[in-house]
Amino acid sequence: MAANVKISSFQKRIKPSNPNILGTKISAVNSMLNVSFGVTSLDQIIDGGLPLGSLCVVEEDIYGSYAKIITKYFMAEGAVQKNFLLSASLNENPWDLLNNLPSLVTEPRETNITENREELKIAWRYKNLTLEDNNQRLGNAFDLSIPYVMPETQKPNLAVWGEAVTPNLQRGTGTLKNPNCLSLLKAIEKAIKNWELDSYNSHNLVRIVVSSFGSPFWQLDENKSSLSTDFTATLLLLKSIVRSTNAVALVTIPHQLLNQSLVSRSRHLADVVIQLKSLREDPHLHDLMDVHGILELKKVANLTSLKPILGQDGTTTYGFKATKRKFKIEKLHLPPAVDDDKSSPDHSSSLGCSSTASKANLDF
Amino acid sequence: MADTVMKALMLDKTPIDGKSVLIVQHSDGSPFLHSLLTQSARQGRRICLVSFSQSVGYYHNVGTRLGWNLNNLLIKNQVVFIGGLHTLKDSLQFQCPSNPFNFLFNPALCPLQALFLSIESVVHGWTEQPFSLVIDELDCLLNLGIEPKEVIKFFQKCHSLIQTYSSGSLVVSIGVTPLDKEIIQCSTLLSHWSDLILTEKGLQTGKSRDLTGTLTVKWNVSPLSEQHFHFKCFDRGIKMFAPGTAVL
Repeated sequence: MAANVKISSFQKRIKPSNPNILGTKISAVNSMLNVSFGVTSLDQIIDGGLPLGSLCVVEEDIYGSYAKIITKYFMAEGAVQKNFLLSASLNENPWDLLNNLPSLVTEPRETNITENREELKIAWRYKNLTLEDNNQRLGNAFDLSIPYVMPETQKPNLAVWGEAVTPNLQRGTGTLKNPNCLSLLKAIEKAIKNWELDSYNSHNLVRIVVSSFGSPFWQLDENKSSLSTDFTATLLLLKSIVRSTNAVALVTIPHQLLNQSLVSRSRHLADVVIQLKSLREDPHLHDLMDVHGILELKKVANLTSLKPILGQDGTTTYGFKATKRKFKIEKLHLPPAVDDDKSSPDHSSSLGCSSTASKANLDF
Repeated sequence: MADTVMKALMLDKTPIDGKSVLIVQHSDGSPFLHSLLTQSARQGRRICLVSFSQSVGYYHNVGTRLGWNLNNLLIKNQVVFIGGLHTLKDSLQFQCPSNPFNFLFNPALCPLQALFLSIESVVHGWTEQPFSLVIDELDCLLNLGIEPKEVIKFFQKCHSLIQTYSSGSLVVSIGVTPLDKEIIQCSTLLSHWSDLILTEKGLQTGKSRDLTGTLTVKWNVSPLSEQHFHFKCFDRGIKMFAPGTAVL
């Protein structure tokens, strides 16, 4: 045993990495660059946002509608921050996502304090933010009912990949065989090269969204007897691409259509896994009438230390509300008890510990 | 903190030379792999780190919090890193035959041959010195499309590699989920060949601030014991507790 080897954790301070990448904020927790989801409440529960270079998997609700809202917010945030956007989908026309983004709404309070802005020397990063919460750096707010009109200057920053774009696909010869997956990966690489995002001093990033990856359109189930490893291999390759460039990827998977082993493997691979469950799926959830569905943080990987990231107050289950205009995530709580007749069991009634006896017996 | 972990694993009394350790991870993150890496670095052992789903930067970042600097050791050639996410990306772009992940795009009779040869060439240079061969997340090979029998053969080759050099040790981690039959079969088979098996699980009832998870330590050779612990991960290390004593 060589006991006299000195392991020192002292490191000479080197030039910090370029923080001027559009759309990123330095995380308060671990000094990594974080990318906003567009939904400020989601950013807060994941400790500031998605780290740059990570892969986020969203397990869709049963018809994928709420997952689509999240992808719209994600891309809309990118459009506002002037990031490059790449939308990939086989279920529908990928341009549909980019043409139907929500537009930015400014909070009314800002108009009162604009005159003060000139006097205060605020760093450029904070100029667009409201002063609502001095401790937290809030992001942008969007309105789903007003479509965003993409300015002409930003149109070259968009790219898509989908059925119309990729005819004549070749099957792979190695273990990664699926032609759709191979074509997607090559398209992403080409886009990154065109936009020069793999060079050291690039100032922008690309947000990649793959909608409904693993749905039957992708033709992954060539062989019924064995698991389709093309699914997991593509996710891993996508992770390797985004890790080494200024990119962030959001992949939504219809997990109810896929083999559960594949879903659990994809959870191991991804950096952040979010599961959405709408109220329609689970009759027990009707007791939580306040929210439209449940959002669970299945995994938030810590890329810099061993400490697990648990979300706000240690919970990983949140509720979400999706109205025509907004999508918001909040903590779960019991709805207010309005009537004495209407029984309001605890939301853990799905575990079977609610009392079925009428509450009228306990009337005081 | 590192000393309590080693004491719990009984590695302070039993030398790790010539032993193979299997870490079965039911939960995410690999705190014990990092602890074993830290221990090997502190003892001055040479390390050959093979990774399939993480980048060098990740091990470096976690390592600096635990007290050792991976980049410095890479420069001094005390640590060799094989694989990693950048190699995976290169295999997509360049497709050269010596890349260990080339099997994804080009057919190969023995897909893991390139990987094993690169490991062997590194280890041959270290014959007399104590070294550790650390393989992180072997289940990623299954995710990349390799058949379980090839993965088992690869493990057997690595195992025999350290058996030939009495001062080497093998640490393999494999992530499992109860639903996945293939991986459970692989991990059960590998646990029969390993000397020390660490099973990391999260808590059955969910996540907690007081505890990160439970660990089962099972020795198949000399101490021949099986013990259960609870552990909590901090930034700077892991604390081990007897079950139920975490909040005291």
